[in-house]
Amino acid sequence: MEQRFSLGAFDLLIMLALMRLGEAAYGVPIAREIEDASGRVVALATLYATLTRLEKKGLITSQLGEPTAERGGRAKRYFRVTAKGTREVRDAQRVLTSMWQGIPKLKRGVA
Amino acid sequence: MTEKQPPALARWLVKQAARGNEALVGDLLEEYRRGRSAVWYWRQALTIVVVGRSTAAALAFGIVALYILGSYFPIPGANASVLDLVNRRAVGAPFQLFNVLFGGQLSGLTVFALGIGPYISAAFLVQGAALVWRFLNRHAESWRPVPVVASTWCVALVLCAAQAVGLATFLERVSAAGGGLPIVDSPGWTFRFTTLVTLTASTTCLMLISDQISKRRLGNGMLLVFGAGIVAAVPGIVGPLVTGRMDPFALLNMLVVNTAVVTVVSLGYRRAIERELAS
Repeated sequence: MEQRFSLGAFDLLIMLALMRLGEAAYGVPIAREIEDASGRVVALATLYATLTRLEKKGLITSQLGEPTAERGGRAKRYFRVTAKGTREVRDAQRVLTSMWQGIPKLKRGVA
Repeated sequence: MTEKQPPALARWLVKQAARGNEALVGDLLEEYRRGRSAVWYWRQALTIVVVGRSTAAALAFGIVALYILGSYFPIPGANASVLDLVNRRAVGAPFQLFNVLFGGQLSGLTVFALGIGPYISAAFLVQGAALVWRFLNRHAESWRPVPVVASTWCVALVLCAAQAVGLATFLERVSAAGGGLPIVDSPGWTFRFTTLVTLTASTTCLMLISDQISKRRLGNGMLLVFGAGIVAAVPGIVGPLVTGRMDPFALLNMLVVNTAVVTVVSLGYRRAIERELAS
C-alpha cells in the first residue's frame, strides 16, 4: 500500500498540537503546547510561517476570531486540522511506529 | 491604568516586518502582557524579520539569476559582437540616460533590456492620473483597485511596445551612422516587430513575477525586480568604470535616479500596505 508522508518533525508537532487543543488552537497556545511537550522554544514567526505553508497544502484551515483588548484590538486566528491533514498525521503515525519497532537500542531500559 | 507596552522600537519593527499578519502581532502582544520579557519580544521581532526577509532574499537571488541568464540572450537580429561598440560610442549620449532609467539593463541589449522600467513608469503615470481623475482616485483608495491595476498594465504594455520600437529604430540609426556597423542584421519592420515581441514578452514576464511577489506579500515586487536588475548589471558597470570607458557622472546619475525610483516605489508600497490594513 502506498503511504504518503510529507510532514516534517515541526509540521507534525504543530498538527498534533492543533488536534490536542481543538477549538482553542491559535498562535499562543499552539506555541505553548509544543514548548511544554518538547522543551523547544518556539518563535511565533516560524510557527506562523509553517502554519501558512500547512494551510496552503490544505492540511489545516483557519478563521479569524473576535478582536480583544488584551491583544490591542487584534483578532486571534484559529486553526483546525482538515480531513486531509488528519489522514497525513495518521500516515505519519503508521510510518513512524513501524520504523520504531524492532530497534533494540530504543527498547525501554537499554541505554 | 495603561496596559504594559513592548519596547517602542521593537514594536515598530514587528509592525513593519509582520506584513499585515495582525494575528501574529496580537499573539506577541498577548504573550508580552502575560509576563514575557523585553528580550523575548526583541528576539521574536528579529525572527519575524529573518523569516520574512529570507523568502524575499531568495526571490531576489532568483530574479538576479534570471537577469544574468537573460544577458546571454541578445535581442534577435541584433549583432551581439558589436554591442560593446555601441556602449562605447554612447558614453555621454542620451542612450546613457535611458540606460540609467532602465537600471543599467539597456546597454546589454539583452532580452531583458527594458527590465521592469515600463511598469514603474506606468505606475507613476496612473498614480499621477488618479490625483486628478476622480474615477481612478476612488478605486486607488479601495482595497481591490482593479481599474488602477488594469490601467497600469495597459499603460505599461503600450509604453513597452513604444520603447521597444524606439530602441529598434535607434539601433538601426546607429548602424547607419556608423558607416555600416552591423549592429542590426537586417534593418526594417521585421527587426522592429521581433524586438517589440521579445521585449514586451520579457517585460510582461517580469511584471507577472513582480505582481505575484506583491500579491503573496513576499515583499515589494516592483522594487525587488528593479533592484535585481541593478545588481545583475553591476559587473557590466564596474568594468567600464575601472577602465575609464564610463563617465563617473553617468554613474552618479545612475545612483541618484535609481535611489529616487527606489524611494518613490517604497513609499507607494508602504501606502498600499497601510491602505490594506486600514480596510
